Amino acid sequence: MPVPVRIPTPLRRFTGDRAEVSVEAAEISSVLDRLFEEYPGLRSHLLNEDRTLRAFVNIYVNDEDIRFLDGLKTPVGDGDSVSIVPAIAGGAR
Amino acid sequence: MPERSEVRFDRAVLEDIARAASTAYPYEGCGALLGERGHVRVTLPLPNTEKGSPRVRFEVSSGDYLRVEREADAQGLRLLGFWHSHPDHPARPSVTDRARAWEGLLTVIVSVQEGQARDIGAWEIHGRELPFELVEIESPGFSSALVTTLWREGEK
Repeated sequence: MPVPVRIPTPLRRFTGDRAEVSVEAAEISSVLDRLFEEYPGLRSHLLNEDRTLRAFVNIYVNDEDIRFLDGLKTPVGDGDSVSIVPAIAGGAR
Repeated sequence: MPERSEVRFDRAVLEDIARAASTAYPYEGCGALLGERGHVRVTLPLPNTEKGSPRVRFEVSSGDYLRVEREADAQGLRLLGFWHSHPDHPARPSVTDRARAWEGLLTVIVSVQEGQARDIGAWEIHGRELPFELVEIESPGFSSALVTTLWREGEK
């Protein structure tokens, strides 16, 4: 079953301004691979060279941060939705 | 030399930001900026979820990020960026601000001095390794020197 993936505004320039795309995949790692096949510009914004998730990028399966699940190996299936969320922060110091 | 970018703020948005930033003092306040490309029409104040040093840092929770982005999509608007305040610090980006900036989202900073919003600036990046570029703020009746007057009027 296709899994819907929510694309955050700052990365929509790589998806033709689409807010949501659907991919066929059974775990987050393959969700990302399918995304990169279609939208290669996303890769360097989501993964490091060693294929770990970049700092300040969060991926959620439904309401759960994958860092608290099985990371990139987190399974996805029927009825799940994936959200890519930029970590927004900063400050005077 | 490329032309400097501009962003237009509706006057009511500047007043809403000033009010929220002043209310948050002495902590950093923050909020989302919604509108059309180059034109901020609405700000949604957000809780600063930074736990460690909320006087000099801010953080937007993932839940709040998703909520405002969905709100923008539902209203046919675009999430243009986020503002945050610098209590008793200038309206200029810090090293932390630069490190945490996202290309495609405006970084807007409000200086709050002794509880009063005093100044505002907007920045954007065009490449992960490149420095911030200043974005000119356009607003009816707005100029940097007029901000304090404008904002004080808004609080009456």
